[in-house]
Amino acid sequence: MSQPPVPSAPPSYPALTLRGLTKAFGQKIAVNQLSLAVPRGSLYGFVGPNGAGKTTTLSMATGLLRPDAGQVWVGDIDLWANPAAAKAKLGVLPDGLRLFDRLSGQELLTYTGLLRNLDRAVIKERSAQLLRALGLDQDAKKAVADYSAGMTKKISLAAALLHAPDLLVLDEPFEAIDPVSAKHIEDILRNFVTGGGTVILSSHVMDTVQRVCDHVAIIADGWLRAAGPVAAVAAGEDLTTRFFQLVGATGPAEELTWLRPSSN
Amino acid sequence: MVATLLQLKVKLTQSFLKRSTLRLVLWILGVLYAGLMALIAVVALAAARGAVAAHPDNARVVTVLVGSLLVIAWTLVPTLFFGADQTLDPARFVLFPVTGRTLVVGLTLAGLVGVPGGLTVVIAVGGSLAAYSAAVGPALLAAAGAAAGAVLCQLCCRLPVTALSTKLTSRRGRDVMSLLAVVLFVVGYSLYILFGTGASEVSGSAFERLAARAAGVAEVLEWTPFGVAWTWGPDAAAGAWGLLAGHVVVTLAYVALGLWAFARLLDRALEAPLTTTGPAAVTADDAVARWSSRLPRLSRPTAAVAARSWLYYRRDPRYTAMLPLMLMFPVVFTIIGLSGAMPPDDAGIDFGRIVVMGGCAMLPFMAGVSLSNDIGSDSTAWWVHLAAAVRGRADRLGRMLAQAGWCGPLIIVAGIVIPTLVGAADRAPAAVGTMLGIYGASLGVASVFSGLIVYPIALPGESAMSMKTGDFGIQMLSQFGTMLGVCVVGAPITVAGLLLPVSLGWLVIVLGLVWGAAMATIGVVAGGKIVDQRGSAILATLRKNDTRLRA
Repeated sequence: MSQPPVPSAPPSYPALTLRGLTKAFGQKIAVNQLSLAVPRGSLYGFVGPNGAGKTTTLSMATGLLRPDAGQVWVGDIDLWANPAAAKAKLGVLPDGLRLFDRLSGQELLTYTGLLRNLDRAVIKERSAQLLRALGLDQDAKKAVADYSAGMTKKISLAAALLHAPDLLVLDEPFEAIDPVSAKHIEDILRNFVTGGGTVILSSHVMDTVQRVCDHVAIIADGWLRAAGPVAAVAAGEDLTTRFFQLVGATGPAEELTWLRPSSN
Repeated sequence: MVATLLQLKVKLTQSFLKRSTLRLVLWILGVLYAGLMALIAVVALAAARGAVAAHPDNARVVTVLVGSLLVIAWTLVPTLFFGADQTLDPARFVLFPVTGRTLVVGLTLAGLVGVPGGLTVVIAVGGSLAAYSAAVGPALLAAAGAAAGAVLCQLCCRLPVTALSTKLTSRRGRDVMSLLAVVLFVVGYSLYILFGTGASEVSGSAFERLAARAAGVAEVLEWTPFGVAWTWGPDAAAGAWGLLAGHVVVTLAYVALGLWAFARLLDRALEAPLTTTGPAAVTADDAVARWSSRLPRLSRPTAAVAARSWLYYRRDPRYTAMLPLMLMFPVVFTIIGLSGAMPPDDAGIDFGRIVVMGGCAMLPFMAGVSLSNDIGSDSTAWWVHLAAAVRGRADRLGRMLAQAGWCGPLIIVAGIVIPTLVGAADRAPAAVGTMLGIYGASLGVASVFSGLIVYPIALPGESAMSMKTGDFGIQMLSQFGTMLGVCVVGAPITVAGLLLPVSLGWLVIVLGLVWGAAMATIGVVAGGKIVDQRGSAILATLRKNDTRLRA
């Protein structure tokens, strides 16, 4: 790593550094030698086809899945060597994991805040604001089990934001989100980045990434195919076209001539 | 369809076992253990065939009682403890054009394909054949009856589980309660007959009185679904052909009735599969904040875990179902106590008091052991603890405190009331002390085991009665390990409680509190360390066990 030019300047460590991350499930290598630096203050998109290794990478980056090899640095903290310190700086929205859904939305936020050792008054104030900002204030007293998929995403996002982390790691934050809420979430994330925070989010919707993110990494079959500022990765083309080139998309699907409504 | 379903069951079990070597090894050990048990049982019964032929009346009572116990175990154990094997969950067939009638026979028989089911068949059929092998006719009839008995085992297992899991959840709590009320009545009444004081009692030793009463119980049971299938052999051996004909007809009627009812329930499950467990009404205020603020001396994460667990005992049906289970022991033994314990026999053996004291010990034992898979019941929601880097200690202590909040008082009340009711009020302090000591010991052991072994149980929102199959081995390892550990760690205080003179009862309370607190503390520290070290491995297991994620 290059030394910072001015020693007295604020630390120039990337917000998140992944070095040679590797994870295999049985015979299948889900993530292969993945290295990536997420610059401080960036809104980083992480894209790839289904099964490319996005969730596996983000799980390892947040301390939820132990890598077979490689390192995760959150700022200047080695996450797997010092998990408590690193996790305090992280806000996490995982995909496909459950919540304590017998709690109401409000209670889930209180629970998360207390687990992160926040002051009760702070939890109360912040959770009320978050619930309003995400349009959940009407449903704050309903059990999370009764929430729709989009509402569940939003309450998880609120829980990830509650302790004002340095770095947000969001797995598919816009999935199942309606356009109005998506707009609100985009505003919240931009505001967070403007204030010095860093976001890495995964998606398989290229339009979202092009609209929201300033950096992008493309992953396929566990390999990092490209990473950098969106304009650099797109290389003068449309990002979607570039994506197809990089992941090696094939031609149109084989035609299923028998797929017609039939009498039998 | 029957063959298809049986193949499906085998395929699903195979693929499940392939997912982990540990699973496979434990499964093989389970099969070997079951096979050994079956072999011992069959050989022992074959050796006893002479005795069976020589004492037909006694043999009849024992056969009917043991057989009934088997069917009752199949009825109760899955419902109360493990949940039924839901490999072939009716809900999985919703999208296929099938009806209850097409599935019912296959699903019933599929239950016999598996370790517990297979063991039941081998022991029942092989054992009956061996025991009545003195003559060909009775042996064959005994085996045929036992086969019908094994089918009744399956029906008695599947009927309550399916009935409870297909109804809407708001009503489920009530269903569980009413079922348990029936169970408590049956068990309590049987124990009352066996151990309570009857009118004009036969004189003699405790064993003779017990034998006389056992014959009375068997006479009733042999016409119920529990006992009827086991009478074929004894009837034939005694040459009571009329009685045999009656028993055969009644057995087949029960099987037919059971299949019909099961098919009806399956139809209902196939019509309305999406009976998600409606969550309990959430209180208007923030109950996590309210309850956690009542524990100001604890760290915030510990208080949060305690508050959340406490709320789950009321809001999650999987936890709510625990309350009647815990109450079962005190209630049953109170019934015995009220009925007047059996007076000591000539040799001074006081069966009544032994049973009652055993019941006292069971309450704290089971309460603690029920925490041995508490992370498993969180399922993948536990990631919140891992992501927030909650210390293992806080996780362990919070869960313990939540359960002790309601089990502690229950244990103290039971420790005072039960000895008083059996006329041993002077032993109440010793009982309370011993029970508290055992409770602390079982909490501590469970706290360690729940960090070491996480096994699949009913997922959040699923029926409390559904069990994830294939992991029978891991589940047994965890539960038996915990129980064995509690026996070891709880032994010193139990010995002290039994041996110290009655006048030193108050000392037992002090000893129990100290011992229990010490064992629980060790459990929190040791279990906490294990959870800290194994955090991501635990989450990986939870992911694997979350069938919702399985494609």
